[in-house]
Amino acid sequence: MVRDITFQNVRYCYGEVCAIIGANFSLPEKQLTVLVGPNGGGKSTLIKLRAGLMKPDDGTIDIRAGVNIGYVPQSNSFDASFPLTVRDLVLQGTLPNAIKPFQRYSPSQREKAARAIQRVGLEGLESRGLSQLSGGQLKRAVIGRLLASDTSMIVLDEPDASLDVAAAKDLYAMLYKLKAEKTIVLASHNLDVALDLADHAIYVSKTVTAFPSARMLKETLKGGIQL
Amino acid sequence: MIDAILHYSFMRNALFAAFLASIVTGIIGTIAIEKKLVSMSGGIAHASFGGIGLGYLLGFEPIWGGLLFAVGASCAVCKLPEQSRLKADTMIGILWSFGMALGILFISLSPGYMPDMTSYLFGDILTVSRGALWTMAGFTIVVVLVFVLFYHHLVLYLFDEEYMRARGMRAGLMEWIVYLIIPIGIIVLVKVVGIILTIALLTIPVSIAKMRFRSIGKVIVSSMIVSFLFCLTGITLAYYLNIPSGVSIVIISATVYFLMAILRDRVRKWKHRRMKHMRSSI
Repeated sequence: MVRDITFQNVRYCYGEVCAIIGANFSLPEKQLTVLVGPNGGGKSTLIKLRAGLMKPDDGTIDIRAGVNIGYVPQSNSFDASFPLTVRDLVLQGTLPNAIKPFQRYSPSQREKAARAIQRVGLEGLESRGLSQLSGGQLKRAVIGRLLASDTSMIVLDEPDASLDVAAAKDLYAMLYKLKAEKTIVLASHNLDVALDLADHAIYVSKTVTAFPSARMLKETLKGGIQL
Repeated sequence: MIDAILHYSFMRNALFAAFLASIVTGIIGTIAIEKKLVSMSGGIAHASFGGIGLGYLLGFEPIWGGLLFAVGASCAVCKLPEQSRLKADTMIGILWSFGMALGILFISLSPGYMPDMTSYLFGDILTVSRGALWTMAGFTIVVVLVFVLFYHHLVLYLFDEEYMRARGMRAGLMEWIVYLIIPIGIIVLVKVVGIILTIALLTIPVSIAKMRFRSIGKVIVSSMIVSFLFCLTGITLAYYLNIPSGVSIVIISATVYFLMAILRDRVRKWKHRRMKHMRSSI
């Protein structure tokens, strides 16, 4: 099995308070891994370390060559009242990193964005403004932007945080379909839904325990075993 | 009015100045509103008064002094808070009053009679000279060119700077561009509506355009058109009623904005009631 990311003895502390201690695990390619654990247990820290937004104090995080990571934060990093359509947002994913004058979207970039919109189930809503979308649709549009940007791994921090149960289920079903082509890692409180769909599970409560299957973690938690 | 435009060169100049100011309004107004830099823009406009005063004192074109001070203030707001404990908001407040104070000092030190500063404070589009028009056109071209050159990355910077940084794009470069074109655009507006009323022209047309459009390109273009209509109506009123043009432009803009906001609110409530009624009848 190809490993996209491998954590070795990773430690991360905020001042004197350590959020993650001795994290040892790896993430297999094109699988859905879910991170669960109590509030303040270090899930978001682990997600940010994985997305490359923070550097560990100790240990190493090895990312396989060619793996591009796309990160979806818990709350949007933008103002949804910004005058932008779904199409505009997803097209941003196709922008090259190098800033050159007079860059315009080519037909192939537009094609790629159209495919991404279709994959996140927003076809027909391309011209809709972001402020006119529901919370679930907005989250899908953000994931669509990542899909259009050629990321091979999508890291999501509690994507269901502001969604109702039905919208969260829809979102998970979409992520499940996406795992055929992308490695997906998500932190979630929604244990029932997330663990049903996940291939692997990681329990984070300062220390990190990796389970080869989500079912094993579910049974461990049901059995009341202290992790 | 058409007669006046045909007969008087100052009216033709005023119309062209309004056209240039409207282009700037669409671009800089959208940047200021979406990046939440409206109060910073006000600070820059007021800080530019120091440079205008310096121009009078040293005998060079005041608008160039205004540009120098405006760019300096913009760079200070952009970079100083990062390097000191000052908050950007505090820095804006300091530069706002410091620029005005310097302007008044320089003008009071100028030899001869104290010049009339009302055209710089409240604007007077009817007194824009041909020379000033060329300067305004040059500044407008710079703003448009820079914005068009980096359009997609600039929009991304305005919309989601964090994503841009996470992708490894040069968000810092876009930040510099934004902080450089805002003062250039503001100087164009100062000549039309004056330092004190610049914020109105920066915010009102864009806010009206945002009531109707959901795409940034449409918001920019429609706010340019709205701004030009406001300037045109303002100039007409100023010409016939003999009132300062900056004041008439702003009063018309604000009145239309409030009327449209009330109308939008009423329409929303009506639609909501209608939906509720339809649901209950089902």
